[in-house]
Amino acid sequence: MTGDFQITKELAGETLTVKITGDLNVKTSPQLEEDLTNSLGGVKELILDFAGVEYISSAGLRALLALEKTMRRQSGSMKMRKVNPAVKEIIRLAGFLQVMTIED
Amino acid sequence: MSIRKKILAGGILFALALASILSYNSYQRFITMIMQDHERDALRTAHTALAFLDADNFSAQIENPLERQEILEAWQEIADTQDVMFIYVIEPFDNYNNIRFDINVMHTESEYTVVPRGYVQRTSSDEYKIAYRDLYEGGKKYAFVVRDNGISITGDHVTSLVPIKSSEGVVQSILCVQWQMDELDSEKILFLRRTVTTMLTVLLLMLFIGRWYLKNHLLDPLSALTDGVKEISGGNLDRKINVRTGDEFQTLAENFNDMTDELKTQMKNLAKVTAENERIETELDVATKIQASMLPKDFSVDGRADIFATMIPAKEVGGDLYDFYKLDENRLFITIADVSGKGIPAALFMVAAITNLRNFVSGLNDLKSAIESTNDQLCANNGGGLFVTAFSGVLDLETGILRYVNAGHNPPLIRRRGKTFEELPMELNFVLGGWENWPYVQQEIQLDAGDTIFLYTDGVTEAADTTGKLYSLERLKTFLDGLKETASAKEILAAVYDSLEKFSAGAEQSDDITMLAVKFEGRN
Repeated sequence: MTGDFQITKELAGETLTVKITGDLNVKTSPQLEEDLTNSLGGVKELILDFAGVEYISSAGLRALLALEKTMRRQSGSMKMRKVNPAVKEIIRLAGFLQVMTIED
Repeated sequence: MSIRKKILAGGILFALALASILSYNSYQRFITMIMQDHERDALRTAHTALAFLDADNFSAQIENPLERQEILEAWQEIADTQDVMFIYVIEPFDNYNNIRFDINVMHTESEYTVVPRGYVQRTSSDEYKIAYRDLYEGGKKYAFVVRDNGISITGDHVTSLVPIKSSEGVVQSILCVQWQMDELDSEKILFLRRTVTTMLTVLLLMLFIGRWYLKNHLLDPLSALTDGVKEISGGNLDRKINVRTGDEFQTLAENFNDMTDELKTQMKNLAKVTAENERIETELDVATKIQASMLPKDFSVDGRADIFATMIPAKEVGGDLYDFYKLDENRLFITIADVSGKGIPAALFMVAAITNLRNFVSGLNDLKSAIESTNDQLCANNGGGLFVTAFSGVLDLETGILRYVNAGHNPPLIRRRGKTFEELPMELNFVLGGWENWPYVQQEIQLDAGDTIFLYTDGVTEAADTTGKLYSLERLKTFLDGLKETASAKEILAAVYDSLEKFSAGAEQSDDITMLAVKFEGRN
């Protein structure tokens, strides 16, 4: 449900922690991308809390890829935390683990 | 029943009721008045007749034939000229129970004859008795008896009674004047008829004036409104309701006209938007068709491989693709891919992906280089940040060796003859168009005759039922394992699609469903 989708941001120094709640699909992913693109200025470390994410579609992967690229361009890093196994499997299959970090 | 008829019927009923009440009322007043008139006339006549009598010598007077004759002639004159029925003198006796006639005259035209002198009869009613007593004992100067109930044998009449009093005040006899009411009856009827006629005429006139007024000021505007609204609701929005009454009807009509104008504008806008939507939809439809037409449909590529593929697009134009063709005598190229996202951007990206793949695979001998070149090409022209997950393989129909690269796609399933479906051994590679200069890992596997490879996109495993539950890889594997090993590639795809349809019955297909199956028939 799009209505359940929520993004909570918390900036501590140069670390931005983003808590995502809801599915990352074709409807919600552009929201995430748009919302974060404007918040990444000066951020060195981006932490995505995936505890509330149960599903990620290819549109979600695309958003993750865009964020990863943005962070790399500004010499920062991106990490995903508390990733649900099903979501992790999708990310893994797309080969994304070779460019992205998932912390357990 | 229309308002017109209701008002008319109500008006008539009202008029009739009003006419009845008014007529009855005035009739009663008329009766009272006319009775008073008749009583007064009867009394006057009685007094006139009384003037001919000498009260002190009354007995002698009527005994004397000459004087008696004089009285009778005078009275006859009075009776005939004043339309009096009966003038008579009586003496009651036996406590007013009987009366004796002294002298009397009848109207000349009366059917009755005079009563002989000294004739005795019983007092005909208590009313007479009361009147007699009033005059004899009560000292009254006159009395009336009205007999209008139809029981009197001489017909309805009013009788005025006056005492014949001596100068000492002693009542000698009673002079009675009987006035017939036959005339009165006809007068009553005439009066009643006139009253009712006048009343009805006036009321009906009022009714018609009222109706005319209502028609002009209420019914006609209402009809104009009704007709106008009917026509408007029938679809004629150009119809204007013309009511110029200067009251609420006109306001209502004007509001209606404003509403139709507004409605017309809205409908024009809607038509415009609809046309625009239709145009977009048609274009998307064309895009879907163009996209579908890029996918190969001729599945009889080589006798050594039974191949079949389907791509069932979701409602929205998407970015799935499959591809297969022979690179040369013995090499069969197969691909399945899924572009991230949906709509025109995804479709365009899919076209770029399939075109690049075809170019590079045909030009370069080795799959890994072709995939890497395709990736770089897609990265270079990727403003939208899209990517595509792809599985590409080259099957040597002679040796049965399948070389493949999996670029972030779901691992295809393979069934060795006599075994169950398993995922192909898979090195993880990055998606295409996502990361420039990505070194892709190529793998290979030896196929034997009777082995089947099933390629699919996530539209299969992520097909949802109405509750949002996904079809899942487990269900797909179980279902495929349940199929006969002799099933052709086409039969496998048809069966899987059938199973998907049953699973997601009632739910909308959210993603393209793409499948490709290759059954290696073996070296000849």
